[in-house]
Amino acid sequence: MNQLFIPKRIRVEVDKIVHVRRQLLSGGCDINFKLGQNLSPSDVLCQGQKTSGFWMVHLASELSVRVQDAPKFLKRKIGQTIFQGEILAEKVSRFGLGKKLIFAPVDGIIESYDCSAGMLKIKMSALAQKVLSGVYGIVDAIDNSSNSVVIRTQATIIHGVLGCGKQKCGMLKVLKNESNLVGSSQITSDLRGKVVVGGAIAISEALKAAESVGVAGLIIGGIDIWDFKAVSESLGLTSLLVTEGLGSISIGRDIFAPLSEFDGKFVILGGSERTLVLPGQQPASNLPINPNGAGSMAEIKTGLKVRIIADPFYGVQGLIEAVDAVESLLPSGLRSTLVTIATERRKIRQPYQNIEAV
Amino acid sequence: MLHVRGFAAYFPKIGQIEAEKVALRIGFKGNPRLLKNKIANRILYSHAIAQTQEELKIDLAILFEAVKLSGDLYYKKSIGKIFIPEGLANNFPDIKAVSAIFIEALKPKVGTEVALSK
Repeated sequence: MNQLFIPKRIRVEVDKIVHVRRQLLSGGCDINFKLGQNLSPSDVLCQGQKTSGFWMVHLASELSVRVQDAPKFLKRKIGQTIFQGEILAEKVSRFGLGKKLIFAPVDGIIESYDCSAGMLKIKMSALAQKVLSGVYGIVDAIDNSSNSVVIRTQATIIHGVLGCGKQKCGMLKVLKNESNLVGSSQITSDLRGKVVVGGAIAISEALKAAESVGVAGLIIGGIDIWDFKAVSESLGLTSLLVTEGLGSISIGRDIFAPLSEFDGKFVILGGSERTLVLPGQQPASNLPINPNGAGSMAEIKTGLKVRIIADPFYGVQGLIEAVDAVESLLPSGLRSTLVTIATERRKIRQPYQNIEAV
Repeated sequence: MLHVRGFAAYFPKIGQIEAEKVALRIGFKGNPRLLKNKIANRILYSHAIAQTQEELKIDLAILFEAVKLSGDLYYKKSIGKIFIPEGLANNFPDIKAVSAIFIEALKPKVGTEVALSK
């Protein structure tokens, strides 16, 4: 029998030495690091202030009054400062039977009132912001062109099949198990800013909810193709990593296990790079750089861990138990060498083209 | 260097295929959502091979739509030839059926020759 080769997909790389890029604040900030410096996760890379724009309140409609009457109910004058939760406007009903209160949604200055639209504009206060290192590592470069710093660190890398969106950082939150179906009710406001491990698939409503809540990233086994196209074309706030393929497919055990271990820890999701970086938790004073020399093909032999990439067992993983010595004629009319794969539940025979080494 | 080339690699615009057209061609009656994902997975792993006649029918329908989208790569009108990539034989057992797909999709002028290309 000839040697047979199948594609090798790197799904998890444990304890790799990698460079991670941390974006610094735009518009000027105080830099607190220098080239070659050893960093720990809590080290502040830079701090500064960020102006957050404006907040619009539809005052007339909230008070249920005519647009020209709404300013009469304001408790603060135009130009005054107001803090979140303070009473912004108050309307007492006729005969004092009830009153309607509007509270300030944000800290800021009441800038103007638009008499034609009934909208009140609040200029939001500048927020103090700081960027933490998030990882143990060494500052290897400062990239002024992209206003970022490159840190050498040790990490476990998860490679997905599909992905989209910018690099996002945040705490990892595992919702349930690897085969969970993510509905919108599971995307709650406490997930804001987090990288969420969903499960086998996220339905369209859940993806929209993730955007509106401000989830930094979502990791799922599968996604419907039209949802993936919509998310990748929208350039939304939530980055996405799909680990298995299209449709509802549980996240592979090889990926879900390290994700579970990192629940509650800082991670870096590169949507468009289709990678998730799980930074090492041990200080590293002098890390070498390893070139990423992983091969792209693997020889088929018994004991090799593989993943099926064709229906009806798409995504199922197992070990090769036997390789046929001769080719078989398939019902489709194609000829192929069949391999027997021992999975957790059963033994499956597949053409060798329909598997990949993992 | 060894590498695997699936049939999708021959058609750069294959990602633009409309699943509805594939469904119409194969007379698909099931859940169209499932078919859309199935087609996308086939494109993602197009080096995988069809095991059943039904799967082969889907692959041929995908091929038909792919040829329509990227036909100018293989139909050289100026010399009156259609070149069919030899590698497609890895996915399709009957090269005559593949030729028929190319001819139906490209609607060449009478007298156009069909040839296999590396």
